Amino acid sequence: MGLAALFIIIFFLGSCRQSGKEKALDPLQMSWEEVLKEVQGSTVHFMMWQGDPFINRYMNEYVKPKLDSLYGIKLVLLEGQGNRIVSQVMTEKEAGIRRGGIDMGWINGETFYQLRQIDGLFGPFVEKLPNSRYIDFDNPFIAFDFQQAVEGYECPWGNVQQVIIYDSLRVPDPPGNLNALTDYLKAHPGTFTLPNDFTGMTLLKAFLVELAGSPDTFYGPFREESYLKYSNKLWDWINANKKYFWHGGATFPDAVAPMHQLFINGELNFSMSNNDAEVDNKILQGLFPESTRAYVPDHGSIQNSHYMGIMTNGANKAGAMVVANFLISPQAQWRKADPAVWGDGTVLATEKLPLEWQKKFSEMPHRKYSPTREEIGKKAIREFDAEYMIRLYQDFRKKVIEK
Amino acid sequence: MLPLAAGAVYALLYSVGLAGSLARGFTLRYWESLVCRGTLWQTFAYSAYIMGVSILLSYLSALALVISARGRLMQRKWSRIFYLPLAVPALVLAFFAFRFLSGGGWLASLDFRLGFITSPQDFPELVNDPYGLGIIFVHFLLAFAFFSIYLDRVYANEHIEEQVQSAKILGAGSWQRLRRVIGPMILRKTWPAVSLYALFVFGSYEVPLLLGRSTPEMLSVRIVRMLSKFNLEDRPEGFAIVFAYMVLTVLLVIALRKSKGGLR
Repeated sequence: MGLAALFIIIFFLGSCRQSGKEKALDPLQMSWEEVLKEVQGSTVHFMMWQGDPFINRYMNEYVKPKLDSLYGIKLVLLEGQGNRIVSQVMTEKEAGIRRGGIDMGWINGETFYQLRQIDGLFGPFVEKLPNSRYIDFDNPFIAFDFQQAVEGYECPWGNVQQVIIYDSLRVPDPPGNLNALTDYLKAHPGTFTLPNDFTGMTLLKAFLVELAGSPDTFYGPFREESYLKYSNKLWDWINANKKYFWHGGATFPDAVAPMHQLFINGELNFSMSNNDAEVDNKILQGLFPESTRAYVPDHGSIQNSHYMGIMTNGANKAGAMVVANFLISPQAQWRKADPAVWGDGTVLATEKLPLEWQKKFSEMPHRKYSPTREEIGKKAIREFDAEYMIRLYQDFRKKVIEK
Repeated sequence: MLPLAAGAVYALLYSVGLAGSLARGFTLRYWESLVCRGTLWQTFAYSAYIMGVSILLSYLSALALVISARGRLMQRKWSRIFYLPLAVPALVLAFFAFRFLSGGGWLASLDFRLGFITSPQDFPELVNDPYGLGIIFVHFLLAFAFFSIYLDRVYANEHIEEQVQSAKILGAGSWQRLRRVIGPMILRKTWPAVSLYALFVFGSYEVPLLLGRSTPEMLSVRIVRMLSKFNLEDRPEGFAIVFAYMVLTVLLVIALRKSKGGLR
């Protein structure tokens, strides 16, 4: 029933948008001045996760007015992330809708891989953006997404590293490796778990690195032998110890948000986040106690970037390009990096910026509760090939959850 | 019916590899994978269990209340309280149940203050538990309120109390009045609506998503998970479950329409 309703909605949305006056121009063939002229008075539909009041405030109170005043663009934010974007674009493409409901989306490696699979991403467009000259493409954490070269099909927006969150009053000495975690679990049963989602699978990648001894084992194309060797060790470790997990390891939270809730309730002593500034962010929102801290265990953690992608069937690709260009501008990136605003790491190579912006970035307010990027950056692990993620999801369900 | 039929055909085609961006021609491997793994039956059985227990408990409780009030339940001053759960979205009620019943929730905090438990882990599992207690609790709250209002109206409209009094005069005992008068009259009149409500519980999403376990999953939770999996190659399995669910729904509606006193 829901599916049928979705078809009808998409059909009518598509019909409405096709009857609009926007023309199907290829912005890649236009000069930037022509692009700016073209987008005046247009609307851009940006689908993004809207689960954080700080991020929403940044987009609604800063980005939207700026785009309107600078370029005459009306930005409409649509709620949705990863799989929602893929599902909608896929359904629209399968229904033959050429001017879909999403112009651009906030995507990560998982979504990039899926959208590339279905030829859902427009590009290469990044080089066309004037502000892309400041992007740090020498940084492999930015130039590659799940070991796949971005090749101009998605524009870097922010860079983050996974951290484990804990309450320093409840956990004075957090475990730094799997052996220490095993001891901790036995001493404090029921206080640890991981979400059965992107964040949880990202933690499992870091566990794989510890079991293999080095992340190099997992760099490059997917290797079945390496995966089986170390993932089997991982499942053995989890199955041997899951009786000490939250709810005896019989169930796992389906996302980070419920984990945060359990952490705040005191049921869990740990939570986690793919945003290394999350603790500052959540303490400022009054959600986490001030004794909350974050760390990266000895085995390291995955550092990755998040990006903006423009859809092949987006109705306003030129407008989406202008929005992306603004969002990677020094002013927008500087504001976003402030822990009191969002705390998202910049994707700009600050040494490439004009001096005034270099100075501003160097004087950026520091994090109060989260570890510094320099500190955790030493333990950063690059994302693995997407096939590892597919297999981890499948096997975590088959060999842990359903076992 | 047309969108429903179109959706069913699309789901069927998708599940056999004949529709979708990544379709590669006819195959039954997605169906085989679902049926052979056995988790499909587990999902249907678990959904049926949650539905059965929730509906049975709420229906019988509401019926007992309505009978004891002799069909005048909604005439009482405090009766408006029954409308409250119906005005609250299921997700909000589920969140309330989570805050109330979880190990770090209000009930556990009270137990902690009273010295019954020393940590959240000591509190019994009432949400995300193996028996779906949290899910049943929320569905009970919603359905009990709905059935109380509905049964009270039926009791009054069908003049059941007059029939009960007549039976009493003719010498029927309380068990006979319940079995021969109230039961048949109420059941005959309400079972189509109860069946539809049961179907709604069978396909519920938000409540089991928040209060259920990673396995077994209720039907809608599993469908959404499979349709949004990282591996797009698994989407056809999700559509196979969608199709099976739609067929089941249609069969039930047809059965209701054909039944005596059913949907018209």
